[in-house]
Amino acid sequence: VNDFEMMCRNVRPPTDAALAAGRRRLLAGARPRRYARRPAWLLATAATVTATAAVATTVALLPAGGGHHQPDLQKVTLTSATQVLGLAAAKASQTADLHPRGDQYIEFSQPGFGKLPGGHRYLSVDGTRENIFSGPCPRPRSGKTCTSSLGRDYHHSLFYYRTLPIDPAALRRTLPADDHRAWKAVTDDLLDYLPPKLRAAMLNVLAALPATHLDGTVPLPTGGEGIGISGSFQGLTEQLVFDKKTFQFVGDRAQERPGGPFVWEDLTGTISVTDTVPPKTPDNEPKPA
Amino acid sequence: VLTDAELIERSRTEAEEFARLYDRHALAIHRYVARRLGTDLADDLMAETFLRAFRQRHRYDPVHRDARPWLYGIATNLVSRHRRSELRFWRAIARTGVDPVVESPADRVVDRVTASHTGLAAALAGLNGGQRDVLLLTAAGGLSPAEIATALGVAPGTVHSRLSRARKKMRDALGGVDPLTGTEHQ
Repeated sequence: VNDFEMMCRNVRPPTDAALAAGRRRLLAGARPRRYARRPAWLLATAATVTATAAVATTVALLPAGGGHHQPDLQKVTLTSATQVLGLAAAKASQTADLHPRGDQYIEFSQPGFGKLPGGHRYLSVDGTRENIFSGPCPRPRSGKTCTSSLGRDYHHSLFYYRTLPIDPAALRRTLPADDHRAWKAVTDDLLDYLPPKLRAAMLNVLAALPATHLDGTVPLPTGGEGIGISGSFQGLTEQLVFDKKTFQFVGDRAQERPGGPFVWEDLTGTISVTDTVPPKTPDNEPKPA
Repeated sequence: VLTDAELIERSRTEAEEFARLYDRHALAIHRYVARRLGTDLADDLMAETFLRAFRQRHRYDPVHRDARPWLYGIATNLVSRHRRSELRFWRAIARTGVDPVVESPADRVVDRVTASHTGLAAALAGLNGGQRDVLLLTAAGGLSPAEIATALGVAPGTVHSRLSRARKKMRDALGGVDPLTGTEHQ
């Protein structure tokens, strides 16, 4: 081995964290729908509780009709994914719906956390316009804000969602028969703005999948506590996290390797309706290789 | 064991399969990029290489069972957007004698190696981008001229001529020592 070969070979390898981050970035990119869809959903109200088996976690549950005034808290023991998702579905179904015009955009303002960059996503309500993302520029222009197109995507627009059935059984028939694919389809959709009754139906569909299970308490990026609901497929676990107090969907986490730690993949944020989007930054994306 | 081409074919319907390609080749791509730009940028460009490859997987020609030339081609394209950073990187090594990407600073061999890096880095900084591409794809990527031609989308003859010129320039800068063989030429 001569000096030049040695110089080329004797290179410090990436850290495990960098390697894992690259893999995570790839897997996130391997979900083409995910990039354009990081929504939030609105806090709902109440529900009834039906307990079944499995892992138990205790939460403070807001009683039905809690509204804006401080309700009495009642301790409820959550023992199954079905129960948690049933509560979340019941709350979602009581949420006020948004009725934006087709030519408007739904804006998702997402906080940054860890390696997740914050930013704003603007999704065309009727799916006929380009969806837009505005957030930190990739290197080497870090520190600036870049605005780029996410393309048109009718099948994740609010107008499309309004065509889907809100009966869980009927909705399940529109999804892939394979449980893993159905899980992925639904969990991706949960990150969008969904009509409340459709959101409730999707949560009930998830509850009926055999691989769905309750993980228990999960720390939230904001410092509070959440409840993890997971699906395990091919040795890897994907987890939806709900706020323990409100049952609001907070975001999702995933394992990069079997038995590995969970890493946040997406966080919900605030949602609003807007008529306009920021202009695209010229040439902010690398050219195709 | 599935070939790279078979994995890519699978990933067209099962996107997650592409992660297996990452597991196979990420370290090599990282090493190649880190050698040219340092480890910080390499972390970013390694990930970007595979993400870009994933998005282009439908265009992959399954005749090529080994995906390395394709991946190195994408990585090289990304590196080319950082030509000035690369030049600064090589010149800094030449000036300071400190190579920030060497694997183990504690290694006793490193002092000697780093000293030799000074001359090599200065010589590499003297090549044009195309010449540096073929030389480093050969030495760091381990690709053959035919594979480099595939990677860069150029004719094999172009690779040979660039490689020949790069080696001559390096020999001139290194006092007659060929960078690939380590032998001395008059």
